[in-house]
Amino acid sequence: MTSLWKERSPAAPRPRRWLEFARRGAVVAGFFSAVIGLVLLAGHLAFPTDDPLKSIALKALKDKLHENPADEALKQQIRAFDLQSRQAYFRHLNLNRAGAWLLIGGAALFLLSTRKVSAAAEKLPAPKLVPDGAEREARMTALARWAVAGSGSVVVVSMLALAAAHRPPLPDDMQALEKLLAGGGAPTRPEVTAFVAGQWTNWPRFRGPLGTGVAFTTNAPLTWNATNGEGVVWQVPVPAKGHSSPIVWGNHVFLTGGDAKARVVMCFDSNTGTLLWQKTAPPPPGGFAKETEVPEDTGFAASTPATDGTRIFASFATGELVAFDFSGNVVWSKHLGVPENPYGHGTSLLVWQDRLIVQFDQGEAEMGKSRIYAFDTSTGRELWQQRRALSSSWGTPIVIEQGSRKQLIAVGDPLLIAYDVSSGAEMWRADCMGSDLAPSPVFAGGMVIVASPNKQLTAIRPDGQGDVTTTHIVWKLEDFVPDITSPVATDELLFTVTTSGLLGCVDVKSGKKVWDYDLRQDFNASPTLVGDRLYLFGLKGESIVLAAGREAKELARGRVGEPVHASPAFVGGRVFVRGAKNLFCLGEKK
Amino acid sequence: MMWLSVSSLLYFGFYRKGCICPIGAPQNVVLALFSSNYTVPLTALAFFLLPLVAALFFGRSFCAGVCPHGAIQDLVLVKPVILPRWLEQALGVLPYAFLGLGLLFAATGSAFIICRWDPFVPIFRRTGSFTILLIGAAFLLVGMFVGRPYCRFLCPYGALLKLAGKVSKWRVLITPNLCTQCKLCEKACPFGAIREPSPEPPPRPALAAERRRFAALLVALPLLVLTAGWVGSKFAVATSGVNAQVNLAERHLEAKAGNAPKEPTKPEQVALARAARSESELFPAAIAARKNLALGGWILGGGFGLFVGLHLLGFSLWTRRVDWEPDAGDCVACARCFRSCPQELIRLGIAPPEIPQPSAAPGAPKPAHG
Repeated sequence: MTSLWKERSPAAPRPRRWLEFARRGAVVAGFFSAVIGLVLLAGHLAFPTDDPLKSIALKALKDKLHENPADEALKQQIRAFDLQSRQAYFRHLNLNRAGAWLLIGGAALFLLSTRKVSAAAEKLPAPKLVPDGAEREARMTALARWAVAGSGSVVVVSMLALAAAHRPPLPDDMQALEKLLAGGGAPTRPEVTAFVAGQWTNWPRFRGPLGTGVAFTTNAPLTWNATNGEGVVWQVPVPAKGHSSPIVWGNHVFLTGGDAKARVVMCFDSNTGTLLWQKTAPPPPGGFAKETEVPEDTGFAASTPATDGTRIFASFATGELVAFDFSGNVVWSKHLGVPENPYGHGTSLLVWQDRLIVQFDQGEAEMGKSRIYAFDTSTGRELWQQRRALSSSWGTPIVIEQGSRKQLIAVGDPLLIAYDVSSGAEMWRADCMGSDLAPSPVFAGGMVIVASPNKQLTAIRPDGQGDVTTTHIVWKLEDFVPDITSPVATDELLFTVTTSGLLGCVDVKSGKKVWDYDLRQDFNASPTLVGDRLYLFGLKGESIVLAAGREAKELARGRVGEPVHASPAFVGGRVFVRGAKNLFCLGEKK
Repeated sequence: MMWLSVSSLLYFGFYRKGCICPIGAPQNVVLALFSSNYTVPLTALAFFLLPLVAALFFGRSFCAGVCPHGAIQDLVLVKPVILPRWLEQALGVLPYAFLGLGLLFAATGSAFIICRWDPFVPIFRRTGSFTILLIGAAFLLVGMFVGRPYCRFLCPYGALLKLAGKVSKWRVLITPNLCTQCKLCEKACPFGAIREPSPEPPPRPALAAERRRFAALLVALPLLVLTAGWVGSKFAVATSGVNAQVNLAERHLEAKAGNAPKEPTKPEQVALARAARSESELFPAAIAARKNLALGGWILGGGFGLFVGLHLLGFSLWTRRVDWEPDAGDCVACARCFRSCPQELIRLGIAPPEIPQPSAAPGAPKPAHG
């Protein structure tokens, strides 16, 4: 340490020889480094490394080989070219590596020499006296203040300029994206606007406009008798077998039917019952590998079609998904694969605004085959799909609006899941379901109410996020749980009917039993709420109308004379009922 | 110190190839805080915390003693030029902007841009992006005349250490007993980190004007934060292509629109492109990532606005300083000033006889020696 001061003191002169050596060393090392640096730079710019993995020439040769896989000469050429390009690539890398070490070495020598020279030339500082420190400090502070404000502004303005200059192609939300994908950001399609307005006076899907069994008409007839034609507007035989329910739009009534050979969509005139057309769903390209087998009770056409007022959409147990226009022309079709479902496919379709929702649960949960899709109604283009780690189910989803949240509510085994219907993103889930799920969910009194056969009825508040099992379940009830039919509800009362005909009434808010009533008939068709009446169609061919109130009160009975498996459609003072053999239009004859 | 720098450069730089280093570690930590799918490696956590904790007590000793980035800049410094204070202050804002950007992109799982744009790691590895290598070379060339340009005007971890150093109690101080006001330390410091004794408090009229300025700035501060936050969100959306999900979605959209998209270049972008995700998986994920970035942009911009606002407010505060001393935040504890301080030489017993012994001034502070 004693030499420290001496080293820095001009009084101790450095040996001239070493200084001269350092000076020359600095020049030589600097020149050497500059040359090496320039050579590396020129090498990089003039001979860019051809990564063999990205070689266009090699890719072209491989493409040629794909066309002619047996060409041995071409294979040899590819191998030789690949080896050559790899060797060239690694030679280039080795040269760069050696050059980098030379540059580092040269730069280190240059710095060492330069520091020596610089230290020798260093002069002792001679600080000057600054007379007015306060004034200078004030001036410096003012300058620094402006400098910080300026540089902060430069940063913010640069960010803003970059934001203004770059318009990212990805829109801000899913709806805007879908508009963009549908046609360059065009406004909502006119037919979608017409559908949204017209769905309330029609019956566009399974269990009515909302899919909850609630009709938006109040003038439905009370009595009829198909055996003598009383209260029957028309009655026509249905040419193709099926359990799917009728849907109605304007003057059209649509049904699906079919067997192992062909699945069809039928269109009837709603005023006369005339069969306007019957069209077969196109099979998948290449046909089916083997004939699909489904249980007799379910059949090939248990899934109720849906319409968007312009097209009719149908799905079948064989996996076809097809869109016809109202004249019976195929608009688009696709094949989702034959669902592996022990009781056949029964989940119905749902149209929400411009999209067709298809719940396609199948197999066991661990197989990971269940999906829920949203397709563009006009083109069939997939808008989103979600994997569902759930087993087979047969319930049909509904869309509810909770504030600004449009939720797609889908039952599954063992989870009830709500999705954002725009994006398909999961919003919440509740572990409250069991197996053999046929009943569909309903929305009443601000709650989603679901029935899980052999388990319970559950009411859930739909304003949660994530797993809401322990936080949002309002009540559970182990009585009156339907096994096939779906519940129906007002904001106060929930009605369920079991297959054996036990009609139960439950208070929506509390989940307490209000009354029960034995209908003495088996039921597969779900009840419908029309105004303050409850309509039920049984397997004995008898219909029962009850008051939807706090007391069990039968209002009327009617007959269609054949078992009814499908849920009826209520439109404009008429009821459209699909019996085992016939399609009925009930109401007053005009 | 030079041999410490050489050792640090050889070991942490060329041998360890600049990774892992604390400069990028805040990204690991913030990603772990915001993503349930990521656990911060203990090494990264230690590299993040240790220098920071040390700085809280002892100032930025890490910068001078351990950091290979600082070491390489120290070694190339040949003829230091002292920058004017206003320029130092102006450029001193940049590390915080870079830190904010790095944290934003890390928190949203988009990218570790602090590592990606590190100018020296490609030099340590002798390979890397050509652009970054050029930037590194440029920093070294500038560093021959401007002391530690990266540490002072860009290093995001240095920005954190600077904040920690400001409250450090046992940081480096120059004079052991008494400052003779010789100013030699100021000339010795190539980083402009030595502060002169403060002049007398301003007269009453000037003080009143300063208070009015302070109040006006305080009132304008929320507006500044909101404006910068809004700009930040717009900026984050515009640059959201850094996120691999958004990048893939944008390229996919461009391909659908008939425009030839650019090939993915970053490893995570390539990996995602190869994952062959469906539109229905990709688009919602990309839009969710975009929304997170927009929200993060608000926080980034607002935070930057707050930082600049508080910095401006700080100019109105008068600090009492009796002796020449290193700035608590700017000093990197390199000890160059010790070699120039006559008092230090006396303390070590190596002062030449011609240097007069100081006499203690009444009331002069006796700071602890670092």
